[in-house]
Amino acid sequence: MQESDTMNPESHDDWLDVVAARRLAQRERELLRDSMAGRPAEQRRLERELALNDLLDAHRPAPPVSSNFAALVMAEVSRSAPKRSPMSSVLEWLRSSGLPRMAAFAALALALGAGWWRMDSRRQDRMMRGAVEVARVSSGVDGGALADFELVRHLDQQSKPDDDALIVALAQ
Amino acid sequence: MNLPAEADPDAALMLRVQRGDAEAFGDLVARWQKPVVNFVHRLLSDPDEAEDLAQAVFVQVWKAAPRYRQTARFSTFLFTVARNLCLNEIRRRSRHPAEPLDPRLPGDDESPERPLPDAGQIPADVAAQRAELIVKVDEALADLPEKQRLALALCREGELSYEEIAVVLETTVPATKSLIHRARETLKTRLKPYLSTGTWDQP
Repeated sequence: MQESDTMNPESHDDWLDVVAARRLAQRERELLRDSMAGRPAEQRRLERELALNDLLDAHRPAPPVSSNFAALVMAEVSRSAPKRSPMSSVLEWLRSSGLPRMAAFAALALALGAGWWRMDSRRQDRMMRGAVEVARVSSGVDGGALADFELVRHLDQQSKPDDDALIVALAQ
Repeated sequence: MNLPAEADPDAALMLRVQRGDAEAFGDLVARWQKPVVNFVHRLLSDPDEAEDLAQAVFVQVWKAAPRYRQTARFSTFLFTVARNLCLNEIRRRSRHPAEPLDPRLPGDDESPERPLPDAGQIPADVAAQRAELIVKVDEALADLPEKQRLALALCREGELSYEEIAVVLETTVPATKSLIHRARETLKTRLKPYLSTGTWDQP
């Protein structure tokens, strides 16, 4: 973060965020103090915040880091790395190459195709059986029966007065 | 959305680590070991464990490299790993308070107490005051709620921006600012006697 980005003495509304966020250079501190000239209450607050920063940053030195820190990390990394068998290398190559995704897509397409083929076979089978049934029925009906059938189908459904008189006479 | 590698050289190194480049990983460790050790130390208050845990952080970063996505700065990723390991350790300690990671026998001289700052060059009474102040600051920090302590450590030790801290803590920027400001208010109240002059060595 550049000083000029945040240390504008004209804008002091966000100074608390700036002071809390990071270590300030001496010049930045002076700029902040200058920006609060004539506002003693705010100046006191700023001094308390800066004092807290000093306390947090300097209350004790940072812990020493071993000179072999990086070497220990690298040793741990190589120790914890799983021994790779040729099979696992092949599997890793397959995984990274995207082949499993393609294989899964192909398997899905195959399954969908097989399902569609099976449904289509069943549909054709049903049609075939229907055609056979129609052929069988039509081959067993003679022309006379069909003529009677048509005669009966065309009989008038309403009874006539003569029919009613005939029925009454027969009943007596 | 991926950030351009030029915007974060560490992210560019991490992309090389992703391809198994141990040299790039070594560069990252060298660059970030001190901030990570400081961060862990600030949270655990134990220099020996801080280094052990910091090493575990980098081992975890190596293991997690294949899953690394350049959607944020590398430091955000790094301190997220550090945060998780520290929280695990803090919770482990709370479950087993008398069981340090590397148990040592009483009187074991292998790991002597760290010397106070400049202990050999300052008068005894000043050294005693500093020692007291260190204890007071440590206690005040240790008593902060976990999330406030994390936010403060990421800010002071990790030197992360509010935006980056928000990502690590999985919260918003205003919530992050609020955590840090509340932590500072608590610390100012508890450490008021030591803040009067604005210098840390004159309580």
